[in-house]
Amino acid sequence: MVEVRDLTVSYKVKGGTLNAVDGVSLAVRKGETVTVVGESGSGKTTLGMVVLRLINPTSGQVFFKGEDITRLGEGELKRFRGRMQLIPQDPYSSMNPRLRVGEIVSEPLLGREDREKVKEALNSVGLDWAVVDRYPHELSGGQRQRALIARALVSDPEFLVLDEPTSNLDVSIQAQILNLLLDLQSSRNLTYLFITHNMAVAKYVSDRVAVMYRGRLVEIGDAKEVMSNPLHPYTKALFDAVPEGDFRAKLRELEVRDEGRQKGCRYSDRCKFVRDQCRLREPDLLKVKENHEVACILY
Amino acid sequence: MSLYRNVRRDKTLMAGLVILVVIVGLTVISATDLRLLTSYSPYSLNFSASNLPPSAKHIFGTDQEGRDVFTRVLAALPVDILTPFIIVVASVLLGGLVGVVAGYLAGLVDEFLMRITDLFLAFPGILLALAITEILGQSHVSLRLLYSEVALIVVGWPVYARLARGQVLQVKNMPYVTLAKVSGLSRTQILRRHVLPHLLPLLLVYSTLDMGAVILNYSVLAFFGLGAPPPTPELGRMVYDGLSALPQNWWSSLFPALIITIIAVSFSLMGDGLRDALDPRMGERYARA
Amino acid sequence: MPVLEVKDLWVSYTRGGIRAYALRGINMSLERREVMGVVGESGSGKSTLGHAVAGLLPPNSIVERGSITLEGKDLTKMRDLFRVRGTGVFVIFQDPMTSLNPIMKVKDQLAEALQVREERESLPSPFIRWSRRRSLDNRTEREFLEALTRVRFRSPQEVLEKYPHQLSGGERQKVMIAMAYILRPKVLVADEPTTSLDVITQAQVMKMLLSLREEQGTAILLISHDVMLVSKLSDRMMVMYGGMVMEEGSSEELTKSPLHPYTKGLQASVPTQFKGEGRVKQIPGYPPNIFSMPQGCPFHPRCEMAMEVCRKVTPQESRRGEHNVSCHLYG
Repeated sequence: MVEVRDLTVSYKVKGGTLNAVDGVSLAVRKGETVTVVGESGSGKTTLGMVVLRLINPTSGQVFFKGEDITRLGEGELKRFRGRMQLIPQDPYSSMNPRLRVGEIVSEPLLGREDREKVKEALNSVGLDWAVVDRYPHELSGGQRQRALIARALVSDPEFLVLDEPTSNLDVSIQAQILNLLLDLQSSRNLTYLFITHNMAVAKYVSDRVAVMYRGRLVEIGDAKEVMSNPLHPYTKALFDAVPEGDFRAKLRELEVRDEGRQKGCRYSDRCKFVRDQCRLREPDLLKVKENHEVACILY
Repeated sequence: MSLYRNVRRDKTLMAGLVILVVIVGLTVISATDLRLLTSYSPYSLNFSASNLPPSAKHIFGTDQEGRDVFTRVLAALPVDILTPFIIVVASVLLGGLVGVVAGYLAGLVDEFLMRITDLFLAFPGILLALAITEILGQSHVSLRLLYSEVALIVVGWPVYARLARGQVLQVKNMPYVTLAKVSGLSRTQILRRHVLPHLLPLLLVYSTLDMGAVILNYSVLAFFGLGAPPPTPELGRMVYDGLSALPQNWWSSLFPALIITIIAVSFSLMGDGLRDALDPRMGERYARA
Repeated sequence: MPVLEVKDLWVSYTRGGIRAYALRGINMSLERREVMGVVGESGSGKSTLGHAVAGLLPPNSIVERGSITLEGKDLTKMRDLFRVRGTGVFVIFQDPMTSLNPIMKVKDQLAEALQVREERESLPSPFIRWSRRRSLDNRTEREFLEALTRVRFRSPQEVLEKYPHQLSGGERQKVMIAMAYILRPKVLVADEPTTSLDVITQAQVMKMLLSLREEQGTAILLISHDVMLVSKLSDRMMVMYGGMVMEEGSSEELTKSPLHPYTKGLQASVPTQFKGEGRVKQIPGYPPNIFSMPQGCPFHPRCEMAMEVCRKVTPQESRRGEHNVSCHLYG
């Protein structure tokens, strides 16, 4: 469905360039959810934006249903707009406060008046038709996020990028939205690229999980496999940071290390298992099992 | 607290509005037929009635040439309201256009337009306007009014350019604009739908506030004789003319000055009130306590 | 004796001429070195409680009834509240950018904190205060470095010279904790301190909060929407909804055997399953807005167990073993 090959996005920063995304290859198959997890600054959101062609990659390619869309101009991209949609992180700033909910939800129809479509979309996210005349500030966070999902659905998309869609919501609302997203996926055969830093959420929605660290894909595989048997020291650290079990004891043992800019593996400065070879070169993704790849010298 | 603020807000807006309606009303009548408001003529000299203090007959008194100050104030209103209005509208249009283009297209265009804007902003406004009018006005006395308008537009537009650019840049990066792009809206559609609706109220508020300032600035130009050519009455010029009769005849400069102040203040009250009234999220701030 | 005691606290907000209660009779006490977790959704009043304790209620709010006692002094009756802010109660908000002055270097922010503490300790003459502001002597510099080292900055010397915007969100939060080390507050209110941070940074910040408590005996009021986080970190916790405490007790107890349907619902809404292996239970509906609070128990419209009485009568707090619970099922 969607594939990126050797994708790199670099920005000029003081004293050189920063690769927000660094040589990432990833394929999302039809109907599945691939979740990208990682901390802030890992490049996971940038990756999502490149896939939607909101940011232009420095090198590498983006394919949508087999077609190379990397170099398409805004005009040609029109054909793909609407077939790919975005569910944003913050339902507050993602709605123009001067527009009514109806206008916001029907925006992807690009001016075609289609009451039925809007009605159907609102219905499928569990919102009343009455909300169309309301302004965003009259809605709660959960209602707004539902409206934004309805907005994404009106253009009958096949592929959605979900950029931390529940991180600004209350816990009880998060559960509602996650269930809604899973239901919509199966009823409409949607394909998701799900971006999150919440491991519990990742576990609940993913078919496959990709772990990013400072722009690089360090581990990828079937969700169950990666999450019950994490291999990369960074993935392990991510799971250790989840408040579970004897969390206070875990915190006592938690080591805080800063990252540096060094040669070799970019995680080596923070890694508990660092060896001399790690400093020599950046490890590539290696298949350790049929459904599990990791970029670490230990394997 | 919030109730009190609402009332205060309304009061501000109402006060400004009431004064403005009165003034604009007087202006319109004065422009159509001054004789509806007063029995005196603003032009004809009458030295037998010169320097009369305010009384029931001449509520603002008379000037050194014996003209009724109240009548002259009324006669001055059309020029003194319309000229600043033209100046502000032109500044908004020019500055708004430059700002929107710069903010929306970004990159080199932005860089270029903003350097030009800075160039104009770098000069102290009123001095620049005085210089322009002085140089141009020397040769063509009859075109002085036009020149002072041009001068104040030259001085006025850069602020709007900055304002518009800032707002465009801010809105341009809002997540809802990102969403619009994903849905395939074109640049012009995004501009019309998301950017301009945020810009127009801002420009309206600012230009209302600015009207007060421009009225003052224009009066300064008129004060120095750089406004409409005589004998057209003008508030700023009247203040200047009255100065030579001070301190005995204080009324012929004080009343025009007072009127200028009232008009300027009423615009600024209106602007303040509008700003609060046009904020769609008013009151939402405390809703998520 | 508890450091902080809140008794029957009622706080109202007024908007557009309408008055609504954000807190409806909150009771709470906090011992030295204790972590009290406050869990709730938007509109539950948890942030209002934090703001009230810190003396930072917005101008459109009124403390209608009740008391907040910090070391024997009732904060609701104090006129010069600023005297307890910082050294009595210190607050860390979700976005430290709003608490740090954007145009001051870390060094100067810490200096300000130190100055505040020393003023409170000894009340020196204005002249000494002035001269102290001028000179950052070696002793104070050493104190700053020590505070920054405690929150694990690798190169504290560099951090001192930085402006807030040059730091990451996690680093800013660490600077706030370093400020707490310098201020030595009795009570630290942490209002969603890690909500905008990722898991690993969150764990680091929490580790530091716990160390602060160990080292200085600070009592911590940890406010968060994250039930899991709070239940793992706090000694006791209270679950708030609609301005009321629904359930309160030791965190272990509350996690193991919650009584209130809302507590149960909250815990069940945290997903634990893999995709395709069962669904997370969801609480229907949305949290109420304080301006349209339902009659009776505020939770009844979303509650599976709601009875006739729940629609009419606001439940009273009752004691059940180690819990306090406000629910008609247990009344």
